[in-house]
Amino acid sequence: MKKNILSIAVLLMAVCSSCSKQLDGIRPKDQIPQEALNSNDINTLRVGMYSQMENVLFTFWFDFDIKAGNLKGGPGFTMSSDYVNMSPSDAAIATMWQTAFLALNKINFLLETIDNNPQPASFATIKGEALYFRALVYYHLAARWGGMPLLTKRTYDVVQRSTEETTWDLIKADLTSAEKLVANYSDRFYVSTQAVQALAARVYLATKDNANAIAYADKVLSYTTSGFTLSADATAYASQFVAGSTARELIFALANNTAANPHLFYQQVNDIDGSWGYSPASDQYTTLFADNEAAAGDKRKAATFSADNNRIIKFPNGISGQQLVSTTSAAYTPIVVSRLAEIYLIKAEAQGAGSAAAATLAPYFAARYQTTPTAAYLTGLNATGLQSLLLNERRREFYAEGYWWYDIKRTNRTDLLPALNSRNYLLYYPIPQTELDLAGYTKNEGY
Amino acid sequence: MSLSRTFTSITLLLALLFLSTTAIRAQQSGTLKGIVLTEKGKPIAGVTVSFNAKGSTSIQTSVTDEKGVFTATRLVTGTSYQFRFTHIGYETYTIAAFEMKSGEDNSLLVRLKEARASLNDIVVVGYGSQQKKQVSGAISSVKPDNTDKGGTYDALKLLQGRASGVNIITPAGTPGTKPVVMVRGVGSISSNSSPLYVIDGTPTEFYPNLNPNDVENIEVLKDASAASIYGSRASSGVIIITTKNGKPGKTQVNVSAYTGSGTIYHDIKMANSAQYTQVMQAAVDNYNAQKGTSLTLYKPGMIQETDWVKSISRSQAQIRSVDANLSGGTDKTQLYASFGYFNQQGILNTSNYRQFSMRFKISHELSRSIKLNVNLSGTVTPRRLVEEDNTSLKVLRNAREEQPWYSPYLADGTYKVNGTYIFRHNPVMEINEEKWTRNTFEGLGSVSLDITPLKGFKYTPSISAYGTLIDERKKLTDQMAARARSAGWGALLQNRNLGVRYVFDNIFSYTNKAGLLNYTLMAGHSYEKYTSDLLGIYSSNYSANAYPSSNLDIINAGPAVYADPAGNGYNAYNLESYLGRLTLDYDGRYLLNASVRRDGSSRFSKDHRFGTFPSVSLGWVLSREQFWPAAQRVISFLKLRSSYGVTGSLAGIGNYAALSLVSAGSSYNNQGGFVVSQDAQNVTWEKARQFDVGVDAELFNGRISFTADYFQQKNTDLLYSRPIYATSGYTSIPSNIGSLQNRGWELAANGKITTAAVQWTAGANISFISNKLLSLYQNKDMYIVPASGFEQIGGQMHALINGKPVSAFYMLRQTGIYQYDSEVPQKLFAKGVRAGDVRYDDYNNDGDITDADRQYVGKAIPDFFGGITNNLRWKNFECNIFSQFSSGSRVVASWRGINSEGAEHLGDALSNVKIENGQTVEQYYNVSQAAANSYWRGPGTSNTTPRPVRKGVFSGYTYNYNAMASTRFLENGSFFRIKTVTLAYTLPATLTQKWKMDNIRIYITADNLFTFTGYSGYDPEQSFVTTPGDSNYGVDFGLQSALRTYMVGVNIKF
Repeated sequence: MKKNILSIAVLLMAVCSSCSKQLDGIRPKDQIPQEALNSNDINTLRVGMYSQMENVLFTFWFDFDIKAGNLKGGPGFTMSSDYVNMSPSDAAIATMWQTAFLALNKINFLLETIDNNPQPASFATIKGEALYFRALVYYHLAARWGGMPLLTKRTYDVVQRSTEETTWDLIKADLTSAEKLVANYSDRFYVSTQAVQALAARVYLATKDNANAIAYADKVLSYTTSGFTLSADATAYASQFVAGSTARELIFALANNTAANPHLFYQQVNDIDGSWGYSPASDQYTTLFADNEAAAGDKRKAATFSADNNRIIKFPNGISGQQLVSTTSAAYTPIVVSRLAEIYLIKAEAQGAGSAAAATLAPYFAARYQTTPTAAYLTGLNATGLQSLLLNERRREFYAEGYWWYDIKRTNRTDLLPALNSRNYLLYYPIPQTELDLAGYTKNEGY
Repeated sequence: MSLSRTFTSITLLLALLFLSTTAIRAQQSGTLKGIVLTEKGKPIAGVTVSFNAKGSTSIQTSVTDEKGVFTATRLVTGTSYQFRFTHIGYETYTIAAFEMKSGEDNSLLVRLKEARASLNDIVVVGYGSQQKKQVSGAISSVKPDNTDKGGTYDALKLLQGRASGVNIITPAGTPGTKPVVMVRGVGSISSNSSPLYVIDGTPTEFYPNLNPNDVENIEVLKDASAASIYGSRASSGVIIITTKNGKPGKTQVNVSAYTGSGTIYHDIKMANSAQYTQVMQAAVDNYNAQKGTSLTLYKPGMIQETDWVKSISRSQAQIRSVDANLSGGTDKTQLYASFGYFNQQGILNTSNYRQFSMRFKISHELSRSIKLNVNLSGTVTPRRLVEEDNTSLKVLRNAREEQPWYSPYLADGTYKVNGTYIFRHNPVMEINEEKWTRNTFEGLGSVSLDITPLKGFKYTPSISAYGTLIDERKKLTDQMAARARSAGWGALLQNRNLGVRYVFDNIFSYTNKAGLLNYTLMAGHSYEKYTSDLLGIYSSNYSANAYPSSNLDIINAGPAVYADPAGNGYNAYNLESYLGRLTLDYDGRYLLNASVRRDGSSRFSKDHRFGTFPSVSLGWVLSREQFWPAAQRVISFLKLRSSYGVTGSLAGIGNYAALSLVSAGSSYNNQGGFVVSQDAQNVTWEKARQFDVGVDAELFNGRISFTADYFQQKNTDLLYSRPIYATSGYTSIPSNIGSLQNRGWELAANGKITTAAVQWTAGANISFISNKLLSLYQNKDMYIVPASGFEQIGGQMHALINGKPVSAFYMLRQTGIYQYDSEVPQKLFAKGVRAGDVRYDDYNNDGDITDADRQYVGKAIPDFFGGITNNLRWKNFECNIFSQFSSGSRVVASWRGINSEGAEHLGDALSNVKIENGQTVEQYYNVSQAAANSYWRGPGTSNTTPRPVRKGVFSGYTYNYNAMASTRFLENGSFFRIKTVTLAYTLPATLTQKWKMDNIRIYITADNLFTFTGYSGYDPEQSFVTTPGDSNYGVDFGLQSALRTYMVGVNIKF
């Protein structure tokens, strides 16, 4: 008996003498070491990048509508009456900044992984996608903050802000590179040459390089292989925002169909429980889609608003009467990046007053209105008149899609934002206080 | 165990000696032979016998042998000698005058009385035990059976006010809330500074659910010398829980039971419809006057006066407990078995906590040198929870916020749903239509052997395992409008977390003595592994009728089952340790303890894995010195001790911090993806170096005992998730960033004040602990802790500031209320500030109030705290009064409405809601009666509570100017609490014996009887989070209140 127990004890000690090796055996189960990544994982990193971009774009989504008077507080909520106002301590602004830079880090990690691969050429398409996404993130940052810290590779060092112009230069350079690397359009949920060109057109318009804006818009418009088409009626317009949309107007969108991480558009503006964050601003609900001297019968109205003045039904919630078209999943509204309508509007804006713009806009108006403006009317508009018309169209077209504030800013039409009340410094977002404190960035004026 | 074992074996092995008078015969040379026995007649070995001739300073000594026999030689006949007999565990015995007689058998028989003083208690010191007398570190000890537990069913809470140096708060009154334990101050800024718990030898970072009636003793190893034997996890102290063992002899059964009920002792009263209407009318009027508008206050046609909090509360919350244990055995085999049941309701409807526990312990001598110990326990803890701290569903806050003029129900009996009439999720619906249970199953078991092949040598191999299974379920009915159709929520959610910890120990000890030197050597090896595996899934919900019926209770009843993103994961770490300790005790006068532990942790890279944690402590028992006046009876025991040691902390380091990783889980368009998740960070242990000096004294032979300690601890390489600019790809990275210091005094005294007919014993302790941050990363002076979680909890409130305590509040300071418009500075006037608004201290003197005016305004941890125990006994009656106190802490009453929402928003918090005709109107959140009665209504009416004004008059602030985080919401958290008062009566023995019982005691107890505090909320102990470095530490979100409970109970022993 005694011997047996002693031998058990000795055995126990022997078991434990090999414990040191055990300390190496602890590994997470949902992560792998970076050094274990191989060529096969590059596509997996690419999938992760797309997923990150869903977060980024959704974080920015309603921002430009909120800050420019398109929305008011929804049932159970209120919104500040001074919605254009901002301060460095606003949590939402810090979240946007941080979400964008966190995603940039992941994009740059993928680019570094490709560059370090013995055969980087075989991942050219993925590299092009990453460059496109980097440009897209910087577009959202530059539109808000102006000059940004420019990161083309990962670093723990402080990177100070570059000028606004240099920031736009990086965006353009990345798009130029990306255009050559990615493939022509075949799936609206993946980056294509046309998606790159559509973003390039937007960027050149924003930086007032009208020639390039027109050139890139034309590249998209002239791409006929798979043929993008404008939605011709309210149902087709609404169908762009249903799960797994097959709308041929979509040039590029993110699929947003992951159960574990859905981005819920309807929850913000058209929820199925009793309260939600935002409702249409009262004036927008009554006047946004009103007939005017140029056109009548806006088909988008039925796809955007319902009889319930608290809801924006553009984003279907799965309940009949609270959406124009049904969706297989209310949670899976695609996160649209570029639609064909924008390309027509960009091109016309870049062309400026005259018959060329009138010709550009003809198919657009035909798709959007029962009664379209005449070519003569459009041709007869002066520069301001055309700008006002195009801005009004953009507000209707992209209502609750996150365009309006920046459209006012880039055209400097602050008359369309009376709430700004001459506080023009608010056209640049404040650098978040936490980031200022940590990195010592130059502040934007006025805060 | 080595020392106690040695000690008991001496008494046992030498049981059969007797004294032969012929053996003790005085020799002509003048030799005296004597024997020293216990009161029961057993010989005592090792008794120091010192003697000197009267008037002589020359002292001779002798020591008794195994038979208790000693010899004193060269005694001069006819001379009077003084003899002194001393031994640990016995009262010192002195013979003042012994005269050697010539020609006779000179012999002495001395019986030593076992000392009753607490100094002879056995103290568990980690991988061993010592007598309290021999301890040279700082250790507090609490014996639950000797305390008045009141309504407390958590043994740890018994330390509050009873163990000096240990600060305990219970952050909410929700039944089952674990206390926050801090030993000797804040030891860390990234973790909750929680001590390491050691349950019958099994270390764990989390205190398990235990039956407090099973606990024999709780020891708190406070100083580094005591704690450092636990090395890398000991810098916040170590709490050792030892459960009861069976005792040889008659089988003893204890049965105890109590029942009682509790109510809120300091309620937060909300305004009724009339008060509410008056405040909101004033808010609208003030807005109109300032903005030149003509808004009107909407009032419903019919007032349905409702106290929303009452509608979700119980009038009385029940508490009950039944416990039975059995102890007994033979000299060879002892066993202990117990069963416990506890049930406590919270004051909110359905809130409930139950605990069922069982324990079985057996020790059996397999042979003379091998003893087997088995210790098995199991606990099942079912809880019913309500959505209290969910920042959206927050039941209790919602109830406070709803308008008092609406009832919870529509005319057809269905719930009002937020957005229509009411603006918050209907709290009655939230409680009734969600069933949230969390059942915890715990098993803790150990098997060990005591192998003693040689005298003094012991080898103890042991295996212990601690497993927990937490099964959590949320079930919604289709009436739960708040979530029944929300994406990400299922009709049924189920999470399971399986945690397993096992520990292998091999401990060797050797005890022996050389002359007057007793020594013990201990060396050992320990290996520990912990894994936690989480699985969480949820069903479809009622959206589009996907989940067929609320009557079903199975996760796959709908078309789909989803993974719960928050409920899946895997955590693991392991630790390998080598440890050793040397204990020297020279004649009970000079004590030395030196220990070292070397820990290797899987959390570090291979090259930096091991850390060494040494310590040393010295003790000097002055009262055993020869120069100590033997005859004086005032100070019967006096020990000075001092220690220094190094301990560590791992708590702030992630399990995989040393690895550069990419993470799965970022899927796109039905493909799984990777993203880079972390880069390896070069972090190391937090280290604490502590110096301690203390004194233990007993006066009047143990009638009064006194302990005092001074300590100073410096923690370096503090781990912190250091904030970093987002361009790095992270918002924070783990780093060793700085250092802090804790220093303090601890004083404790216990005494028998009267021993006559009325026996009065009393105890008191007080601890003064100050904490100071010494340095921060990159030589910064300050780091503002950003808001975490929900802004309406309070947003940014804390900063880490060099030279100030961790938990420093950093916010605006309110200096009053502007009484006249003319007092308002120009810049503020332009932002809409008027008479009646808050006057803040313009810290930077720029005529404006901005974030730059924030300043240090206090801290969440107290300056001093302690407790007072009084125990009165008269005949069969007994009265215990136990009080606790804490002073110097500040608490943020965020429930009053920092930023906006809350009981004192005064017109700022409003929402659009639909009313009967489909029209949308603005309605306001309710306010507290206190705010409704005290707001500013004109010059001189208030200098603390501002005017009511509808949202929108202030510009340039993210939230309401009047409700910014400021000292307006910072209150004094000091309190004095008469915690428990118990009156007990023990039935007369004559009666009890007739019923064949040993003892029957009946009692009534009041728990939380009176709390004296200036705090306006439920209780000043509330804290939303438990980590001192967190932005919501010391912030009272207004969760369920602790209760004043009255109970009646009985203890039966047979």
